[in-house]
Amino acid sequence: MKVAQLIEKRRVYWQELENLCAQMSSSRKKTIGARNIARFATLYRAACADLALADSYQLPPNIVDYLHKLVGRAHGQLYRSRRVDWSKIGDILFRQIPREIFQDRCVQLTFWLFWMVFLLAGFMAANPDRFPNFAADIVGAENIDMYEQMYAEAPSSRNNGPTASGAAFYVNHNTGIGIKCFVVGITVIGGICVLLYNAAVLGATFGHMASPNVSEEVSQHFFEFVTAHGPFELTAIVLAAGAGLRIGFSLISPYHKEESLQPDELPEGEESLFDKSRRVAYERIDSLRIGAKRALPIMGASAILFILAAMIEAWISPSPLPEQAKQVVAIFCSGLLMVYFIVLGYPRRESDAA
Amino acid sequence: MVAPWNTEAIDSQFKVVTPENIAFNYQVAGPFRRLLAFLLDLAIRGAVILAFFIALSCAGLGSVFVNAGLEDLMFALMTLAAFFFNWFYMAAFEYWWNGTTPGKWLLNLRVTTDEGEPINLFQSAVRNLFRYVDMWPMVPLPFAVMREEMTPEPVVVTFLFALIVPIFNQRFQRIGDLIAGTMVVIEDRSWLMKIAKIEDDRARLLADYIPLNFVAPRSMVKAVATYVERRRYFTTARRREIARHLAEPLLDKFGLPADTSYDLLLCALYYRTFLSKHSADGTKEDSQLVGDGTTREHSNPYLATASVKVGAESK
Repeated sequence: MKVAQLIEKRRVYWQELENLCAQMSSSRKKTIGARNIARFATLYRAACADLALADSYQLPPNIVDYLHKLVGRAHGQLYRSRRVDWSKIGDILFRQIPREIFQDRCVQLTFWLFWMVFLLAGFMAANPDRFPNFAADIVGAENIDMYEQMYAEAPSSRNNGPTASGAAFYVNHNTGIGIKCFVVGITVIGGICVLLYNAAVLGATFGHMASPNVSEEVSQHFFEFVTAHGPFELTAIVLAAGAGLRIGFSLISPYHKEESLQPDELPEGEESLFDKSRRVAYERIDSLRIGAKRALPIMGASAILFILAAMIEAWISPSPLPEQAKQVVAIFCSGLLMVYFIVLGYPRRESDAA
Repeated sequence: MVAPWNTEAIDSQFKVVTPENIAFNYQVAGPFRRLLAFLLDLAIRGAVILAFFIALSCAGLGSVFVNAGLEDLMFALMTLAAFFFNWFYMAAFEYWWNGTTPGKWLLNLRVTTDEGEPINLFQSAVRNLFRYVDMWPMVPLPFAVMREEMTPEPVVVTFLFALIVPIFNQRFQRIGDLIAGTMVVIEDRSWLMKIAKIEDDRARLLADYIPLNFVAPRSMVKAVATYVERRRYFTTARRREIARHLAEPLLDKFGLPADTSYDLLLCALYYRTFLSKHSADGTKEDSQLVGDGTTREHSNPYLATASVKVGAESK
């Protein structure tokens, strides 16, 4: 058969496939109908075969080019992005993530760094006799004045009480900062700097508010406002920075312990040697991908904590509830965090067997 | 085996092998087309927010809210919408729309994995969260430093990382793409071109002088086809210059007079290969490929494997 004739004949099928592609990309799957989908599959296979045989057919190059694009489009319609299995979300959230966090060296590192610096800065700012002007140097004199004016009034009378727009603002603002902290972590040094800066500023502010330089009333207002949402928010910052560092370190050191790997992550040609403590070396880019896979769930947990903290900050902290109630909320939140990270996160035997 | 020529090393074509064991090429999208798509998305987001704002302030929708005492709720919704627009607009669209956003869809771009497969939620989230890195390096404006007011300094977002990182890898991947293992491909609709017509009767006559037992090798067929499809853009002198390299040895081989037009000879070869009755016979009836259930022949060695495969799949 002549090549020209062959192309004329196939053209009908190719164009039908093209029309089906356009239809599938613009309308929902259910409205297309089973018959059309079956037809699409047949035509796709036919086009694939035409492409595979293009060489032996001696098709002209522009037709081959056309076929590549056609098959590419059809391929894009045939293979769709996989939907998330929402039935597994509970398992991921309450079994996998806490264990991941409990074992993660980076989160441990950021945890110790943050609290060390926080407590140190707090201690130094709270003792202005020994460390004069420390708080003003770290936080800035203007900011300290601003805080003192802000907390001159009781929290319940300051912000017109709890508002929905306040909650939305805190979600937007704080989670945005958390995500930035996470992303900056890829540079390691940048991530640690942001973390230490936050720790120093927060610690100095807390310490200054507790120092004798500040009047009793202001400091009481400050702690009344801060207590309730503190546990969630500070933990969320630590988690976000830890997740960021996990990505940064996986770039610096492309070694992963075999026991922490999933089966499909072993490099090609590597056999599991039953020596679970063996370290597997990766190319940096693959190591980065594995690091990101580990870090994203931690960042997800951090984002959830940020949102919970924003809710508490908007609804409970500025509310006219008595201070004891807010302290109870803080204790309850801390308890929840303990249960989540330690009880749920503690490594267990059954997870090794599974 | 890349499309027309073997230009794999320098081309932006990327070979994908599908689960059906078919290899085809995707064209990887370059930074500037993607920049355009990004700007379109930015404009769409801006337009939606603007339309929302206009609806609230001018069309009186806002006063309805205020009168109902829901002003607070309205502001909350607006802030939340801004938050999701800012961080999750791209990721959500790429997840729901099979790797495209409105801007990408308008420019026929699609995000796939490195292997050409569709992306999942994890990948769309990672590649879009790391958009923040693309803005680096952020440079504070010099006059702000001179004013000694460090806190509210205006920062210039240079977007240099978004330009530099894609240049240094083969698939124009941003940092987010590298981390998530994704790439952006062009999914053009291209028009099916017809076989070039040979209007010149002399070419058809000349085709008869080409020896019947001459079968052009594949690379030569490709070269001839490319030449004939594009020859109408060239002047006569240019045609002669280009056709000469192939035509001169061929004239020699066929024993034709050396003053034959080079252009004409290539046209004749094209006619002979694609249009005449003697054209290459490696083809088969399309009814087999589309699986209408007719008998299959295994006469041609090239087709044996393919037709068995198609037959197996059509069951």
